[in-house]
Amino acid sequence: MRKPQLFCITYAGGTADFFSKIRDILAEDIEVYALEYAGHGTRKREAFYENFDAMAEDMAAIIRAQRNKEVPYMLFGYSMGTLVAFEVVKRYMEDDLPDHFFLAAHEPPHLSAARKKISALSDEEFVEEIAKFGGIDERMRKNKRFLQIFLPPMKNDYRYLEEYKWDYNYEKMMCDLTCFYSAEDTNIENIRQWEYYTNACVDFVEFMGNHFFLKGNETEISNRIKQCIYKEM
Amino acid sequence: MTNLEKYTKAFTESFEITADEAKGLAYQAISAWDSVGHMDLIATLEETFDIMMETDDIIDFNSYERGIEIMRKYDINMEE
Repeated sequence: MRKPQLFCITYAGGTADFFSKIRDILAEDIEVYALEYAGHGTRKREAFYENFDAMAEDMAAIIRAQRNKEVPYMLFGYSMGTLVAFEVVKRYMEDDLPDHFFLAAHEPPHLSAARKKISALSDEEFVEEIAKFGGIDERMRKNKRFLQIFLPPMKNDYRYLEEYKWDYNYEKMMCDLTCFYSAEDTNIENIRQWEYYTNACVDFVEFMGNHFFLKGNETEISNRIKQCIYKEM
Repeated sequence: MTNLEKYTKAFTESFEITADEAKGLAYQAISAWDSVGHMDLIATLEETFDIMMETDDIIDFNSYERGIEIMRKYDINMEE
């Protein structure tokens, strides 16, 4: 029997390897596809997207190309990846909805406009801002040569986020949601508003830590994913 | 120690893997070879071979084997 599929979409400035431990933990039970944005990681040589829409379209195209409709599938968006995954479902997957939507470290789309605009800041100011929530490794921060390589995709992703406009025109999803969050990172009242986005069940799972609480909690998150998938099958 | 052995050692020490595991390894194939791990590996290689790699080479360095080709660009003999 083919395994169910899990498509993971990462955070702004992130690369597919963010999900590598989860991929390894789930390997026996689930086919995990960690998606890479153009201009990042293994796709470093590819041009950046023009805008958020192009990014969502590209992610949808990758998912559709890998999709085996004989097995269930799930999406897992982390931070910016949550919004991307949401838009992928809304715009491109109407005929093949996910069985479960896992999201982490991001408030729902209608609250996203409140985000502070930082992409146009100088490199130094930008780094200062993302460092506040653990968005950059300290060793990377101190290495100006490497920073010049890794900063452009990060700033570009934040520009997409800042330009993202939620159109208030949506139908509630019909799949269960699981929201992973850290109270230190995201206001619980905001996270709870994901309830408005589905007619199915919503589960909220709190973790300790900063915006990148997935790191160090891969086993628990993987177990949650596995439990949900077996429930759906 | 040959240059190839020194090169492999940079992988084994940066990513805490064996020499056999290093061979054939690709960027992001293991969690240790992420963007920060990449930075560590490049810094180790630059120090080991006393070179300063170009930005394009740092970006193109996406596997153990590709790295050997890149090392040769810097006139490093990578024969066994």
